[in-house]
Amino acid sequence: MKVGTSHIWYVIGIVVLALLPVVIRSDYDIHIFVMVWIFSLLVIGFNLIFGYIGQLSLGHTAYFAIGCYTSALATLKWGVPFWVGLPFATVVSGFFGFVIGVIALRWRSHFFVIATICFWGIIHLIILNWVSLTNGPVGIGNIPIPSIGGMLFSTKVHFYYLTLIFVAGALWFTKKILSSPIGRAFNAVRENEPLAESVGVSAYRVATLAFVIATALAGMAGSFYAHYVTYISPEIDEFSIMISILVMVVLGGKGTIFGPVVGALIFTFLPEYLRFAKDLRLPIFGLILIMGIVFLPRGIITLPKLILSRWVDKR
Amino acid sequence: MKDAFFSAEALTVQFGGLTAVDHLSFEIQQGEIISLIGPNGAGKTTAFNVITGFIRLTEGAIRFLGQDLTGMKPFQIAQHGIVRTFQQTRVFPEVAVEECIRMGAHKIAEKGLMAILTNSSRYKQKEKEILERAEQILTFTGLKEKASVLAKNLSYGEQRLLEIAVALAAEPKLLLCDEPVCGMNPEESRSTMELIRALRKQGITILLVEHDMNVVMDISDRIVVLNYGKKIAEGSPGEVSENKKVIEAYLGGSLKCSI
Amino acid sequence: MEAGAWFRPCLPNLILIRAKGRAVFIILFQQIVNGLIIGGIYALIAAGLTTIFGLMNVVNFAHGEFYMLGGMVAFLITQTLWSNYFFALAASITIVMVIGFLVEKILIKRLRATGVDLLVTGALVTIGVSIFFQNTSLLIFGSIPKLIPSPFSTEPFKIGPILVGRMYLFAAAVTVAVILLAHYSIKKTKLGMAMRATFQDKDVASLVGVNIDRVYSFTFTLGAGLAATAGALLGPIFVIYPNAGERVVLKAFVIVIMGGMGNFLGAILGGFLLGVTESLTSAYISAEYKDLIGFVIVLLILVFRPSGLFGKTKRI
Repeated sequence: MKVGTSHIWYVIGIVVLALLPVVIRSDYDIHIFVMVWIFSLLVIGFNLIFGYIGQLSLGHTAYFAIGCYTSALATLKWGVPFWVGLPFATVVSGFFGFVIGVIALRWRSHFFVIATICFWGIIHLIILNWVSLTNGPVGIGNIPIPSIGGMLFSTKVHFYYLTLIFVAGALWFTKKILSSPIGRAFNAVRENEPLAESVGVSAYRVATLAFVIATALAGMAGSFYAHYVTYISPEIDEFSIMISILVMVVLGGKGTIFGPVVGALIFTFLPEYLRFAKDLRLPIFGLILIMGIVFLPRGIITLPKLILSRWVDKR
Repeated sequence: MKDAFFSAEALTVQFGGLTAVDHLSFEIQQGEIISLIGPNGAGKTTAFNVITGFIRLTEGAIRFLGQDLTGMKPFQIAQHGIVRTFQQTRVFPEVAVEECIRMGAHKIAEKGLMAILTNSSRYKQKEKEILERAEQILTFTGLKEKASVLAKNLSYGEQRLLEIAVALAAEPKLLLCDEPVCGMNPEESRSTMELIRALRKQGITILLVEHDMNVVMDISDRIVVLNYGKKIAEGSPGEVSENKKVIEAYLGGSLKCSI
Repeated sequence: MEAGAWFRPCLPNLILIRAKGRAVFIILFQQIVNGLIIGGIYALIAAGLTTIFGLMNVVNFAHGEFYMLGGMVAFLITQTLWSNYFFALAASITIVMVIGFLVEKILIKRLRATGVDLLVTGALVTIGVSIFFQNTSLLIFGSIPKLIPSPFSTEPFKIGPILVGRMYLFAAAVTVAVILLAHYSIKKTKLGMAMRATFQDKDVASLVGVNIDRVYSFTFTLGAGLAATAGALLGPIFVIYPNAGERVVLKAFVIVIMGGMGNFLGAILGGFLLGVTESLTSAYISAEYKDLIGFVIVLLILVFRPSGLFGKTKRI
């Protein structure tokens, strides 16, 4: 295996991120990083169906919620450990993604968008009203913290490393897929669907695959969230999370591998530093979304390249 | 009859009250170059669309290499070996030429999730094959110098070539070209036609839709003539050019290319 | 998002009648009437949305906000300028139409020029607009729900044994009038014909001299106006709050799919149908899951009849 410059960057990146908790003493900042990693799982998946295939899964938080509740209920009601709850939640979310994908991806575009919202609506109503299952608006608390052997993942630092490992894994998985024929098929479908079909790519199957991966990752993120925050309620299903996902992906750089993570980093930290303007947070997000799409359609991650190429041209 | 390389049987396509293709039947033998001609609106592109699964047949059947392809979706038909190009140029705009061709090789690629994730030897082998094949196609179509140019930045003629290149990557046994020289100058036309002849030498059977009569007469083994969705004549270029019905149809219609 | 409370009619659902059989019948009728009235309002909102989509290929996620603004502005006018509801109704519709016009001119038109995938970017931009309006409204009006004082007496109108609130009746009448007006203007006026031509084939329409930009502008403004009418009409009936648009737009999308995307008449019929279905679901099955029925219908339609219940098979 050739060791190229990109490999060196990866190693540096991993080392930096691994050492971060040692350098950062503030518990609160570590907490924000954990949220960044959880969001990263969400947006990496969302980016597959949105950035690569080009379909807008506007009800994506439904799968996050399914992951949360499935994992919480499995560990609380059946007594399974987190390490069983996590894959279980991932699979269940992926399964629902499969069902909705099969139904809605046949027609794609606007139908898909609306179908995903409708599914979200259904899930939201179920979470609110099926009280015997989900405790309704009260929510579920006391969700068990993961543990290995005797060691409890009780500190934020524990979760930092746990989620970081999974994010790295998700990135590796995504990179492998995207540089494979499957990734080429994703691009083909996005760039010119009839052309893709004419060379043997089934847009329907390819889109469904991307969607299943996206929803499974959302479920995984949900499981992590539930066992980290240890309390979930119907509020996790709110549309504002969907908006955050959109902003992160669109402005971070949809259709790139690391763009969404960059977006997650920026847009998880940004609101924290905008805390003084708490009430203005969402309208500002709205404005940012609009301006971002109009002026930076390829996302912030392309900004360095843009600046670089302008600078090179000027010479 | 059953063993014909390709046969279209009584293809009929109706939209609303309009019959675009009316009981069209013809056969293609392996290694032939056949042209489908007719005045504008005669139903040629609709016939293409139906053969490749982009439009549904109202009636009729399509048989290829002993298999019944009727009702199949485009990607399935492509996987069986029938690949097409489009009347209005279709490329992957934001993708480099070389990558476009690799994307076309989807059919032969290793798509198993496990193989990809574990970097199995089979996967590596297939990827190598695809790389080599893309190189071959680049050289063959003369696009080698433009290998890293984004498809949207190619000239019109180059994009047309790229279309054929991508179709080739899908290893067609039967290639359907929809107006391949449309909008090209005589020089480009000539070299494209040379390309198509070379393709036949490689064993690919070709079905063309074309308006340029010089090209058609020059390159075709047989010609099928359509008018108002019906086949009105079929035969060698010599036979067809003397056919009264064909002459009538063309005097009444126009000879312009569709773009 | 509290389930069910939003569109629960404030009318008595049970009528005291001596004969039991007749009672069931009358309750059913009452539910249907309720459903039709609410359905009419739904129809207004959905018709605008489907027209914007059908003509401009833009999924307008800010549509609910036009509805909300229609109500909010009307409320503001009755509180500050002149308490006459009818004036507020007309004024707020006009104002929201201007807002819609500006949104189209400043944002959507610009997107058209860049030629990006209009569907996705249009969706994202309108989502941004939606967020912006929602939260600005929250800042300006506060989160306490508002109720516009009704200009009618609270004594309900009696049609046989069925009771209908006067404001409801007025809303229904205006709804029908507005629908007829919109339908007429699309069919008969020059601009309406230009709209239909653009709907059929944009390129051909521009070739024969139709000013596409003006058609788009008009379409979007009209859609906003229809939504605002619905919002202002509901002002005295239900409470208005800044996030109201979110739930409304969901319903509107359900109806748009039911009626077939781009199908004006289908949206009208779908609106009535959904209104009645929800009303009956609420009464006979469960009030909380009333909203659910719409979502399930959409998914079923996608499986069996993607072109909508009434839509012709429009090529996607």
